[in-house]
Parts: sequence; C-alpha cells; structure tokens
Amino acid sequence: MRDSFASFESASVGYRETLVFRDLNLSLPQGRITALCGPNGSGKSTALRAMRGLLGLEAGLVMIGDRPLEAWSLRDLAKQVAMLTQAPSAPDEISVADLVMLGRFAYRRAFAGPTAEDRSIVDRAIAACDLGDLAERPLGALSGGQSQRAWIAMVLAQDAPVILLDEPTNHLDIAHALETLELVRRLKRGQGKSIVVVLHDLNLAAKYADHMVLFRKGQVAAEGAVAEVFTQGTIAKVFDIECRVIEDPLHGRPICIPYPRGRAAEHPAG
Amino acid sequence: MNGTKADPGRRAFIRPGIIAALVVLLCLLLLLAIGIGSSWLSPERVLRALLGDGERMDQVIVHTLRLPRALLAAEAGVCLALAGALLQRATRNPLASPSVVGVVDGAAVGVVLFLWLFSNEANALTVSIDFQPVAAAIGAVVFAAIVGLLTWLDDGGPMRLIIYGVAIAALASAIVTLLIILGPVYRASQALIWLAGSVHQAHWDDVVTLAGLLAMSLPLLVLVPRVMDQFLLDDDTAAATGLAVGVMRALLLLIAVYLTASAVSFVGGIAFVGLIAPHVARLILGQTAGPYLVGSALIGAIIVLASDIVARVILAPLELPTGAVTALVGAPYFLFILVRRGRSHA
Repeated sequence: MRDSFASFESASVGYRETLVFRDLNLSLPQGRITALCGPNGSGKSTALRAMRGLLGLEAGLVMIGDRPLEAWSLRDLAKQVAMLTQAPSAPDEISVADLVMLGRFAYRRAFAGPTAEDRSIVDRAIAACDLGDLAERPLGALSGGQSQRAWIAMVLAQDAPVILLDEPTNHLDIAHALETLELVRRLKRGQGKSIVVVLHDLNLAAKYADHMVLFRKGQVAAEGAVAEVFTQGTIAKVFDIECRVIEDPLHGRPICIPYPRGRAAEHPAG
Repeated sequence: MNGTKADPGRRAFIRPGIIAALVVLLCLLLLLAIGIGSSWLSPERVLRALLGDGERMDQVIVHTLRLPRALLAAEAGVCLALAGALLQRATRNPLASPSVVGVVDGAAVGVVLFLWLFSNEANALTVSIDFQPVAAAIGAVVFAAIVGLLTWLDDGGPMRLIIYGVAIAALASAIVTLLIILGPVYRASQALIWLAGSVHQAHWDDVVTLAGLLAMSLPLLVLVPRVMDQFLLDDDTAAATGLAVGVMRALLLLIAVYLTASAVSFVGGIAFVGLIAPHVARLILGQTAGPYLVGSALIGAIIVLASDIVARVILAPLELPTGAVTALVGAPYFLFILVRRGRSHA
C-alpha cells in the first residue's frame, strides 16, 4: 500500500458516555480519494471529525503525518488538514470572496490585511471551483451547488495537502452531486490532494473513490481498493440488506442495487 | 471578470466614506449637546469656549457642566456598542446584547445594595457616592461570573450562555425589586434613576476614568478583528480553519463583560444601545470585523448622545433618564428586527 498521511491507532471515541468506536485501526492512503461509508451511526463521520481534531479521543492515537494530532499546533494542523464540515454556515450577506478568504486564517497575522499570496491563493481557489463570475455574489444568492463549491473553495484556500469532506453531496440533487464530486476528483488529479470523503450514496462512492472503508457499529468492516471492498457479500453484511453488484456499462465501475432483506429471491434478476 | 474586480474597489471607497460621515455626525451632535441647555450656546460660542477663547461664563457652562456630560454619554455609548458587537459575534446571535448576559442587572444589584447598606436613618450616604461605580462594577462582575460558570459547568455553547444569562438577569432584577421595596423610599428613587440609565451627574472624574478603562481595552480590540471574522463561520468550520474556538469565544465575551461593566458602572443600564448599534453597523458597513467595530462604536456614541439631547429637551425643564429615551427608540427597533427575522425564516 502507498504511504499513509494519517492513521488511527487503537483509537476510541465517544460522545459523553457512549463510545462511537472502539479500538479503531486504520491507515489512509496518500494522494487518493478515500470514501468512508456505512450505515447511519456507524462512526464514519465521527472518524472524520476525530481526524481533524474536532473530537477528543477517549483512548489511542490519531497520527497526522509522523506526529500525533495533539502535537500539532492549531495553525499548523489547519495548514495540513482542511475540512468541509457537514453543515457549514456563514451569514447570507458575506461575499464568496470574503468567505474564501476566511480559509486563510492560519496563515494570516492578527493585525494585517491579506498579503499578495493570500489574495492569489484565494483567486486560484475561486477559479478552481469555477466561481470566477460569482466572487462578489453574497452567499445567500447562490444555488445549492454553487454554495457547496464556495465552501470547497474556502477549504481549498487553506492550502492543505489533506482535505476531509463530510457528506459534501447532502441536500444536492444528482446533477450537483456529480458536479461536486467531479471537482473533488480534479483536486486529486490536478493538485495531488489526499482526500477523505464521507458519502451516503454507495454508488457515488464507488464511482469516484480509489479506496473505500466500510464502517459498521464502530468497527472497520472492510477496507481496501474499491474493487475489493465493493462486493455483494460485504455490502449485504455491512448494511444488513440484500443486493446485487453489477458493472457500470460505460466505465466499468461497480454499482450496487439494494433490496430489502429476504426480498431479492422474490424478484429474481432476469 | 471585470465586474468582479470593480465591486471590492467600490466597497473600499464607500466604507471609509460612511465612517467619515458618522464621525462628522458625532461631532455635530457633540456641539449640539454642549449648546443645548437652560441657556442656548451657538456652535460658534461652544467652539470658542472649547478652545479657551470664549466668555468666562460660557467657559464655565461648557467645561464644568455640559462637556463632561456629553463626553460621558459618548463614551458609554462606545463601550456598550462595542460590547454588543463582540457579544453578537461571539455568540453568533444578532439578538444578543450586554443586558442578556446578566451584566447590567448584576450591576444594578451592586448599586441598590450599595445605596441600601450605606444609608443612615437620615437618608444620607455614610460613604462617598464616588464608590457607587465600584459597587456597580462588583455586581456586574459577580453576576457575569455566575453566568460564565454555569455555562462552563454545562459545557454549553453560546445558546446555553444566553439562556443562563437571561435566567440570571431575571434573578438579579428580582433581587433589585425586592431591595427597592424593602429599602428607604428616597434611595429607591435614586436607584430608579440609575436603573433607567442616566448621564446627568457626569463629572470630569467619571469621564477620565471611563476613558481610561476604554483605553485599556484598546490593545485587545485592535487584535480581535481577525478572530471575530472567523466567528462568522459555525464552530466546527471555524475550528477546522485553525481557530481556538472556545478560548477565543471566552476572550471576546470577557472583553464584552469588561466594557459593559465599565459603562454601566458610571451611567447605569442604558438599554438597547448594545443591541442596536452593532445591528445598524452591520447593515451599513457589512460584516468585516474592523469596520463593524469602528462603526458600532461611533453609532453607539451617536445613539446615546442623541438620546441624552432628547431626554433634556423633550420635557424641559424636566429631564428624562437617558436610558428611557434609548428604550423608547430601541424597543420598537428590536421588534422590527424580530419581525423581519421571523419573516425571513418563514
């Protein structure tokens, strides 16, 4: 396997009393898109938040690069790992350009305007997300897909080699979901980012991810290249459903067709 | 692309213009506040007296009576408005104001206790009235600390802070009512004037002390705008950009408590300034923290100064407490904000 940019070592995380996952061991490969999937409450979003230091660990370690998470200063960590949270919010009135500039926080001094470098990185992030014409638009005037791109531009302006995305396609229609994930794929290919994305939609995950981690009840149920993990048996077990996995006729990616438990036999394929 | 480049330039041009206009308005109000009174002084006479060149009588009126009052009103407005701006941003709640975190009612408890404890049978104070601001400050800090402690023990976010603040403020105001009913009548009326908020007893000492307190917060105020901008984001997103959310929120709230306690110690509970000034500043200057803070401060000074002028003129020779006027203007504006927010959320 390639080098990893982050790993969990016997990590346990909980909200108050209940542990969400226990003894998690996981390495995330560099320069790839890793999809975290699994049923609701299986711990995938929690793992992502723990990786960004938004949640403390009960036990174990999260390593970012060669150092444990706690050894990073907040600013250095922000320069290393950027994250789009599940429900980011900002006032409707602020412009896309101002929002994207907020991504530069870790680089800016307390008492100084943005530097030429800040401005050029913000401009590039806006351009990379195809928002050039909307830079001065207030956030409230954007469509769902546009505003998701604005948030991704903000995350990009953080100029971190690692980007975490927590359900970036939530609330987006299929066209905007595809558009968002195409952008994510461009970031990997064009800028060599390592990307970890929590996705609910298995078929979108299979279409865009290189590497997949399936969570079930706070444990890693399966992990590996998409072709290895995305099998009928594994998915049926992880999600407690029946399913058929077929091939996308255009690109050869696997597609899962789910059935409720015990119903697949009633309607045999063909 | 051309269109996108023109807009920030236009904004950079408009913002200083608005701030300059606010400064001019504030100066005009200062002249007016000093000119108006039982004897009218024209702006020219005011200016000459200020420069030490006027008639002796004018100089006495301006320097010992009207100037300290006008300055104290402006300073209190600046403190309360800045406190409101910090609070609203730190809690991400546009309806937060200094009075919701228990500071104002806490100060009131301090003042009423002070008037009660240090009065003798003849209704005279047994200690100097100069200690009243100290009592107010102690009350403010104690009650703010209770709110802070409760929120911290609860491990709660800004919404919890506001809920605890409202509850503790209600408790403090109940204590005040009780003390007023139980205490001597003469002191009660004095306490009521303080409660409503007034600058009519302004002395140079107050002006200098409050200016000093304000000046001490300046080094921090100069450093917080970048952090305040980050609080435009939700907590998780702000943390992911590298902000120490908890520590910085506590810092902003502490500065706000400090500024509120400073102001109410001298002028009492002048209502709604801390709510409305930041709101107007946001409307006309936008969300960026630097202009937002400067605008809030200027608008706060303008509101209190203008309210004090109205308080002196409207029922002359009687004077209303300044806070009564800010409340008369502020409460409807507050309702207006509520209704508009309600609609936009519908």
